[in-house]
Parts: sequence; C-alpha cells; structure tokens
Amino acid sequence: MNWRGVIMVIPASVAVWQVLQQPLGWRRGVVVGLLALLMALGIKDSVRKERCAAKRAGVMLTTAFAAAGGALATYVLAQYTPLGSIAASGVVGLGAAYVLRRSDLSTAAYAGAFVGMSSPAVLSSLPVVAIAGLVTGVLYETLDGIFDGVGGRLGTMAAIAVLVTLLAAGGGWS
Amino acid sequence: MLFWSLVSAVAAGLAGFLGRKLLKLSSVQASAAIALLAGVTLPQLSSEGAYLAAVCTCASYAAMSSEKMVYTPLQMAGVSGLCGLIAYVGRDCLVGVGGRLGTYAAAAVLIFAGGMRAGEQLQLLRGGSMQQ
Repeated sequence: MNWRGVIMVIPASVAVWQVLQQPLGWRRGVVVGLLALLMALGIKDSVRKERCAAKRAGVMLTTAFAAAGGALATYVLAQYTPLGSIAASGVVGLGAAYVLRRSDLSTAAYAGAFVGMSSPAVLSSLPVVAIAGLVTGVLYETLDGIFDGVGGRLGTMAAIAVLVTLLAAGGGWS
Repeated sequence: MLFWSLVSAVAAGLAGFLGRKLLKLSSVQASAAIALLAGVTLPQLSSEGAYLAAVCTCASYAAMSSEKMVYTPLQMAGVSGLCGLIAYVGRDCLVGVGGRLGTYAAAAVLIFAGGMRAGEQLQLLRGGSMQQ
C-alpha cells in the first residue's frame, strides 16, 4: 500500500485506538480483531496500484474552494439555526447537487459539508473550518483513486482534514 | 439500543440504495436526502433520535458505494447492518470530529469487501481440496 492509502487509514486507526482504550471483554476484543483483519483485507483490494495523473493547480484550487464553501455553509447552518449538524449537511448536499449539477464539484462540496458537521469544541471558529475545508478539497484531488467506489471515503477525507487541522493548530479534543 | 441502531441503519442503507437504483438519484442527492429526513424527523421522535439520525446518515454514506462494490439489496442490508454495529461500538470515538460517520461507513464497506474476498478464497481452497 502506498503513502496515499496509509493517509486514508488514519481516522479509522484513531477510532480503533480509542475503542481499545475502553475496557473490552475477550469476546469484544476477538470481534474487534476479526473486523480489523477483514478491513485490512478490504483495504488491500481497494487501493488502486497505478497513480492518477497529477492534477492542475487550478482544478485543485477550485475543488478546495468548493469543499471550503460546503464546510462553511454546513457549519453556519448547524451552529446558527435549529437544524443541527446532520440536517444541515443534508441541506448543503442537496443544494450542492442542484447548484453544481453541471460540474463535478458537488461531490467535493459534500465532502466539505462533513467538515462543517464538526462540533465547536473541535473546530472553534469559521476560519479554522474554512482551512479544514480547503484541506479536504486538496485531499479529494490528491487521494483520487484511493478507495474508489467505497461509500464513506468523502467522510474519511473530511475526518483526516479535521484531524490534520487540529494537529496544525496545536489543539485536540476530549 | 443496538437493535434500533441496526434496524435504522438497514432501513436508511436500503432507502439510499433503492433511491439511486429506482429514482435515478445521484449518490450525493440520495445520501443528502436521507441525512436531511433523518436529521429533521428522528430527533423529534425519541431521546435516542439524534443518535439514530447519525446512524441513518452513516448508512446513507455507505449507500454511496459503487455498484462494483455493493450490487444487491441484500449486500446493502449487510453493509448497513455493519454500519449500525460500528456506529454503536464507536459512539464514544472521534466525538465532534466531522467525517467520523463517513469513516465508520468506509470501515463497514471495507470490512464487507474483506469478508467477500475471504469467502472467495475459502471457496477456492474448498474447491481445490475437493478436486484432490
């Protein structure tokens, strides 16, 4: 597996590490171990060997701005209206699918929407949300071909972007 | 709670899958519609509604999988059930981090893919030993 595949495993690894911090009985431990083993098999099959052509800077920039827009719109809807983060992401996803239907940017904007679902305890301000959204857009283009066709890959990219932004900002979450 | 988590995940996953197949919705449209519906209705119905809405949304992300990965409603139900299980086990993990539901969905799809691969390998092994 190349480095791009390794990046995609970061959020799941953090989650597994957090599960293992909880007291587990041997039965739960066996189940978690078995699921991790099957996931490793699935990952091995889902990483394309060949690299995709390098993206033009313009394409990457447009995608990054679409993702940042999705992130900011979701965050604002989730925090400043009674919708909540889940419904807010749905509104932004449907809006992006309609407004950006003639381009490929609706998927990037929806990936950004997942960043906007973060709690204010994790991403505390709009500029930080925008940065995490931009990182998501860059990851979207950079990780093209990794986990293609796997539902949840957009959310995984969003989680990586949020974790990277948290690390870069020197923060964490409890 | 685990039971309702599994039930809501399977319902949402199948709704997303059938929405794409029958209504010809794009993967983003199908997933976003389920997220909006679950996010608006379920929190009003019970105290666990917010959690169940998250589970439904997680399954809707899994339903964004390509036909090459998940191609029958039964397979989608299996993947969605895995989503419900993982969301239940990981409910205290990555709290507040955007994208965690997508991470769980991807984990469920990859576990399913790994299971399918392991099944194929087992069948090959069994076939080889039968021939001998």
